[in-house]
Amino acid sequence: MISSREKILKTIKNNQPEFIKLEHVKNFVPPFNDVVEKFKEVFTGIGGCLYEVSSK
Amino acid sequence: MDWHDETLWCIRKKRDRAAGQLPEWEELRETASQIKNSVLSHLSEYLTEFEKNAKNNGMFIHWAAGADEHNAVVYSVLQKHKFTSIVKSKSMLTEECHLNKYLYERGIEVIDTDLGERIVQLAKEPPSHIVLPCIHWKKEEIGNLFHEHLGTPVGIADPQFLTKAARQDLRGKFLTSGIAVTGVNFAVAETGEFVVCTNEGNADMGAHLADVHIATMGIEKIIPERKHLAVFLRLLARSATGQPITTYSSHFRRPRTNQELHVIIVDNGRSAQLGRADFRSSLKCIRCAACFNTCPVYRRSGGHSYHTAIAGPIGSILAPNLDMKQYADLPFASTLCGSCSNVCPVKIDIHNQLYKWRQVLGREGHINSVKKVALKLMAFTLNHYRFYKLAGQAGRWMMRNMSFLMKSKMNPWYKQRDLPKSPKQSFTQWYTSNKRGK
Repeated sequence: MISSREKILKTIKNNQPEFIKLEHVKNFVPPFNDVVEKFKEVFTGIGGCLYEVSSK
Repeated sequence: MDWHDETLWCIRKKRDRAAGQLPEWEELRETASQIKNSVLSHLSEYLTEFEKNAKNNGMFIHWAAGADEHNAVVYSVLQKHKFTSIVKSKSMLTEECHLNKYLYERGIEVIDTDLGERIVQLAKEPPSHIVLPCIHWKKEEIGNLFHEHLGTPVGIADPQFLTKAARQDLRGKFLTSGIAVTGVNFAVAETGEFVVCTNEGNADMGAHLADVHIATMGIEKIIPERKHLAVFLRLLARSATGQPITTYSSHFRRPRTNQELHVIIVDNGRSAQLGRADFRSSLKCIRCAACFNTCPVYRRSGGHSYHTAIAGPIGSILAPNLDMKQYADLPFASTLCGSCSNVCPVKIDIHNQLYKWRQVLGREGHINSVKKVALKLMAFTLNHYRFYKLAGQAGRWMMRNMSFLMKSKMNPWYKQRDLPKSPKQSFTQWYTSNKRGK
């Protein structure tokens, strides 16, 4: 007896449309230069308190 | 139902604001649409790739051709471990397969853990919306429901208090249930992982505490690579609720030590829909419900009018694929205004498909004779201006003087709805008396 797996895959193969190429997905560049500065701006803008700790 | 309409429109506006904040929004929609088009053209390859990688990660993969098989797989896992209850996070596929009913009938307790789903479960109702399952309930009604089922004080309608009460009740269920069932938002072929999105963290709570996790997914949930999540996750939350990101986007890649992780890949009519060229793009749906929130029919009629697990415009093009006769009315529940297609994050031409389904249903003989006569009468009316004018006058007179006919208890449509006030004049009369120069 044909398994559900085989049955499903067979129907899909019969029904799937012609091959459509998977296009390259571009990296969407954020509309600001400095991501960290933008984070600080938004974070404090919504009432957050930011403490910067020196890495030294 | 004005508040229902207004609430959903409010969410639509939030979606617009969230989309407007992304300059690349339209590009994201186009990208998502292209990825999904490509997925549908290699679906069998991606599914087998996902299966192979997921098995390598230690998951058990099951395939279910229909709802009964899906439910039987869940039940067999329960039986194997001798579990008598499950905690379940929101999964429209389990609603589609009527899993709760199936398990109740076999003596299994099912606890829905999404707050909205829990509310409708306590009320013994199906969800009315795929993202906001109890959107048709008011907080006062929920207070009464919780008083009855959870023992909260009478008359409490404070959402924060009620949420805490539900959380307190659910914590015990999470801690004592050995098995958790979740849905799947995206399954990544490349890595064999899947992603579940919730705002309450209930999928994580269930899956991380349970000895066995069962995740159920439709065959269309596949995406090729992990990087594609960056496109879909940005679109999903903004389209669904206007949030920039869903609170929890949890990645499940392998079971914990001593945990079993099962994935059920379900067809249930989807592969047949794939073969319908006019309708296959409905399989691109990511279940955001943006089309619900914008639809003038859904906003006024509510989800239960659609008598299917997935209501709204997208449900109206998915359901007839499962059973044309049973769901023949749904493609007609639309004004064909096209707003659904305009907001769809994966660019499904929903309104065109609604229109095409009407033609298919007509050809296949699934339109009942009363509707056929009504449609012919409507066509005649719209084609004959004098008759149209007369019908309008008669309708307004009826609404003013004989509204009791429609407000009758015999009319089920009226039970949960208000009859609008009859306008004093037609639009033509208003326009004639108000046009420039008058």
